[in-house]
Amino acid sequence: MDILTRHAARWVLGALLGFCAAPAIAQISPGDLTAAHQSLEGMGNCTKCHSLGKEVTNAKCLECHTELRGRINAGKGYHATLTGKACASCHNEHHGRTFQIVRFDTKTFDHARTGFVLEGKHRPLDCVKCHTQKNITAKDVRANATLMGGHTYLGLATDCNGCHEDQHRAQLGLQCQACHTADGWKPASRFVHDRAKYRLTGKHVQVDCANCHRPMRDFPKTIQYVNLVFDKCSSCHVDPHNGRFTKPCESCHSTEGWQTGATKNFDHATTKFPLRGKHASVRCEECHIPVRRDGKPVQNFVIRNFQKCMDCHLDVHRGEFARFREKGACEECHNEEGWARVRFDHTTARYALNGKHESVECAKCHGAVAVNARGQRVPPDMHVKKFDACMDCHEDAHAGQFRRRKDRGACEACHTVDGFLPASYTPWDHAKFTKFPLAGGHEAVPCAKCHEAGKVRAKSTVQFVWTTEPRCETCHKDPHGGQFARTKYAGCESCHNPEAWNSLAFNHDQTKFPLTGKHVKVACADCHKPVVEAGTKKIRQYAGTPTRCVDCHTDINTQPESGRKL
Amino acid sequence: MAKDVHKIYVLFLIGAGLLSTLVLGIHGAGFYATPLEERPFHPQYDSLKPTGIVGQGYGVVGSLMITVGVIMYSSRKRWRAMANMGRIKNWLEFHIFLCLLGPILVLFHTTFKFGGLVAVSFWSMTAVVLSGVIGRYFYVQIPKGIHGNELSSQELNVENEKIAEELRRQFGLDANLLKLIDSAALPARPVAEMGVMEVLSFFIGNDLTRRSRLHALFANLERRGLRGHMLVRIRVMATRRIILTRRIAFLQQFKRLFHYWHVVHLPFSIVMFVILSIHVGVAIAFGYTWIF
Repeated sequence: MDILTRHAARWVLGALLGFCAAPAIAQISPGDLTAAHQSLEGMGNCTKCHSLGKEVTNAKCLECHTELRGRINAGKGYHATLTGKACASCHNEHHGRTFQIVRFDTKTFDHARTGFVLEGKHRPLDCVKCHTQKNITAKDVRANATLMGGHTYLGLATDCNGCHEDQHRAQLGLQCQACHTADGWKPASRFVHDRAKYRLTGKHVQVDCANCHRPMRDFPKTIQYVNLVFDKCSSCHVDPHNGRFTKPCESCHSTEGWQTGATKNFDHATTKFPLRGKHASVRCEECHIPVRRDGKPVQNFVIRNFQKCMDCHLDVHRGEFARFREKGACEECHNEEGWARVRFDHTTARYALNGKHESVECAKCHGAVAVNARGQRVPPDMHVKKFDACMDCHEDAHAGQFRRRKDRGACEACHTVDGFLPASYTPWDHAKFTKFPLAGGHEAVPCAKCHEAGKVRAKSTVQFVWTTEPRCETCHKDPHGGQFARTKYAGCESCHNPEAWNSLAFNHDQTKFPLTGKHVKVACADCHKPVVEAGTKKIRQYAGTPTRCVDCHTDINTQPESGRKL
Repeated sequence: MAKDVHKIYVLFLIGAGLLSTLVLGIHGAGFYATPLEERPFHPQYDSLKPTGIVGQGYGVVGSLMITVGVIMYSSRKRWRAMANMGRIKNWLEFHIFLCLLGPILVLFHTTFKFGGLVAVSFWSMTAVVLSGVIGRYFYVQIPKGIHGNELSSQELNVENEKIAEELRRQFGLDANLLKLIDSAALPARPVAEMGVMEVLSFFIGNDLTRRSRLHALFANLERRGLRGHMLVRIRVMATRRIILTRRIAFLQQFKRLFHYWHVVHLPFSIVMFVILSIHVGVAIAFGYTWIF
């Protein structure tokens, strides 16, 4: 290289260095700082962020960001959780004025690390909904927030009032979370009315809040929750009795309900009509029928006519008892214990009840309560028009067997009102009314021995009347197996009588074998042996008994060891 | 160094340079293609950023390559003790290799973000590299001896006459055909009257149109019955004659241009190194010491 070239080269070098000097001084920075750090541009400011030999240290950052330093030192906020992490690892610089130095994935950011857990309706909110300049309450952040272009995530209070307006206008203090949750303003799920001066009981629990808590007079958009007058029911409720009662509401009603409370608490005995018996269980409105006043149904609690039952009740007997002493007053027969519990004196009726009739249920004679086509209960006609003969009410248990009798089978000839059995019929009556007077042993025979059921019409009907003449064989069986049927002793009465079976009227002398001598004392059975067979049974032979001596006696000469000695 | 070994050496240097560029480009393509303001949020940011373990490594290694390349070549050129250490041409080729690959690494170190003081260094480096490429072009237009010493016009004319003699003797090219070859190497105007830009534009145009200019020559040779291998050999020798003829004709102009070139190349190098030093100094001062 010659001298000229060297000289030229020096000039070029000098020019180049001179040309580069100016930008070199101004642009030692590797790139523009973000707008927030714009004031730190320039060579003289490098060490405000960079530490010699230590790159960018957190201490340098926190020298300016005192709002963060205080929080980190106090262990509060998100940055306090980032131990050992360099600020610059997230907040990089020298990437231009418009570079977002605070940038993170808002979808995956764990907000709980900030010390404020996002719950309920907070969770889907956009960050800037809360993180706005107006919500920053910390003064130190407010000051720096201006430097950061008005946007920072710091400085928000964690209490509700930091972002939300106090909808209650300081009526209830600032502890919003005592009643509300992040799931929504309504319902105030944590609110417990028991903590209020007025505890909700009964139906008040179900009442919508707005029914009692109405907008404040001066602030129509704010609901009044305190200083409510609640010492009287009428503070909230309209008196449906229109002031007719002077006692306080709670003397009759309770919060369990207008009706429920009234029936529970109200003492009807304090009225002119104490409720007794079944009246005590009747629903109020069955007597206190609502009436319309000014077009509105109003419960009618003042009943002027209640002295007579029929002021409320209908005369179901349709005046049947008007001829009675009390002109058919209900209480003559009935009382409040129940309609069916009648205390009627039947002796005052034309048909006095005696004997078993006294215990017969009324409905047996007067009929039962019926239900008409409209479903209404219809009481029976209490006036029984025909009751002269028993069979006006009763059925003929003998199926008309006595109809041909002179008294046409009048029941009272044999029976009384004390009961169908025993009948008042006596053995003398048997002699009086029948062709078969009872004598001897027949007097002691139970009726049913002769009068059996099942022979007249229905099987249960006992036969009392026979169409044939009465004979022994009708009831008795022939124990002699018909031995005497063709003899002059035919017919039981030839030998026997009603006194007793053994009370014989038989004279052996009238037979072919008169008893003489020692034969008189011989027992009948010694001669009349059971030889005749009647079925499987052997019967004693009387007719045709042999009459020869040898037929009974033994010839000792020929047969010394058997029979009677001849 | 044998010719083939030299060829392999050059190819290796070119291959190493291209492969390095390709690998670095592919490795960080996603990051480098990301807009500047989005890069801090790119997963490769921490490693490929200028102060990252990889990114700063590019800068350190690239800077060292440039520094070594410059010091080494300058020493060989200027330090008499190294005057006999290898051919200057090989030193130049290695200087070119280091000073091309080094800036490429530095380019990746910048993450293609050119701003601030370092940008001056970068653009100085770019100027040095480009001037180096141009200088290399100038350099080859000044024929050298086997040790890199510049040859005189007389020596070049002897060499050129050897080529002409060979073409005449071996391939039977007559004076007209040789004149045709020489006409493809020389401008229409006298060389002494041409300005710097005119010379450069002629060279570039001549390089681009050389093949078409020889077309008439080869058509003539084919008509004479020359085919295949013979034609290839003639083409090679004709090209050598064109280049040499052109270099002889413009030898003085290029010597002058090459002197001028130093005026540009060297100051840009110095500026680059000065700012590089400041940059490195500031980086170290602020604690960006890479792996150290």
